[in-house]
Amino acid sequence: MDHDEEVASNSKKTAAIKNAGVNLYSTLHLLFYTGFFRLLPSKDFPFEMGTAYAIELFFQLIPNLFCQVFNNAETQGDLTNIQSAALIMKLLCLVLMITELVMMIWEVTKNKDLRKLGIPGFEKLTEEQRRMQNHSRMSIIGFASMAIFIALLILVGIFG
Amino acid sequence: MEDAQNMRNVHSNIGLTGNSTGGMNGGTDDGLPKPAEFERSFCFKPFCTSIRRLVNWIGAFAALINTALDIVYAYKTPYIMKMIFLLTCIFILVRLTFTIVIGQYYYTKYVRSYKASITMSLENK
Repeated sequence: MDHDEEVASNSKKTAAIKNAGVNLYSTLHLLFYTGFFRLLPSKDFPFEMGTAYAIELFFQLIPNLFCQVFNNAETQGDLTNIQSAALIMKLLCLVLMITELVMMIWEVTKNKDLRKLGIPGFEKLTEEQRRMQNHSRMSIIGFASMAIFIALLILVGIFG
Repeated sequence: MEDAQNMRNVHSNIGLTGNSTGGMNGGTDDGLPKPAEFERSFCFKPFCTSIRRLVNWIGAFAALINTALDIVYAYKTPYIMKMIFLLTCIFILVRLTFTIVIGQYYYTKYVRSYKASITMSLENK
């Protein structure tokens, strides 16, 4: 392979990795908002997942749980379907989140142990590998989850 | 050293190595390391990993429904105290803002810092 071909091949590879990075990290916004960040591999994205769990817990679940409990308690007569459903979902989400966090911490710890032992398949990925392995799947999941979210918002808004 | 070798044998026997069909170093043809066993396709995972993935999928859909319900709740439900309504709206906006800010932080951190590494790798070549 001559020098020009090598340069062209390198720049093609570089562009592909750059595009993968743009896809993956721009989808993170959608994944963080819709809650589908859970589907990221915890082996490769432990800090991102931890941050997203923290945002969801401290800026959505706990404060809105209190707000809704207080408002439901003040409501005269029977609760509407939305009020009951929102509260039930919040409690379900809390239980699921605790379960997921326990499993994630366990998995990350196990991964570290296995990595220390040099077991193949548990190596720390480079940034390039992390992008190439996850970008297409997570892009699809991110956009699909956002589409489902919008559809759900409209449906619940109309029929709720 | 011997312990590590024993552990490797144990994990190899129970199929945790992720190397059952891979090369000597667990790599794939495209140069990427082979994903760990629990990162492979859903049907071929160990039982506990499938459970974890299932819980994650359920959690993701629950979080999605929860977010939608929070917005519809704030929009449709009559609030007795205006303060609680304002707090609910503030938290919905804060969640949205933080999501964008943190997402943007990761985008800036990884996409921008990657440019430097490309330049370095090309210079090395």
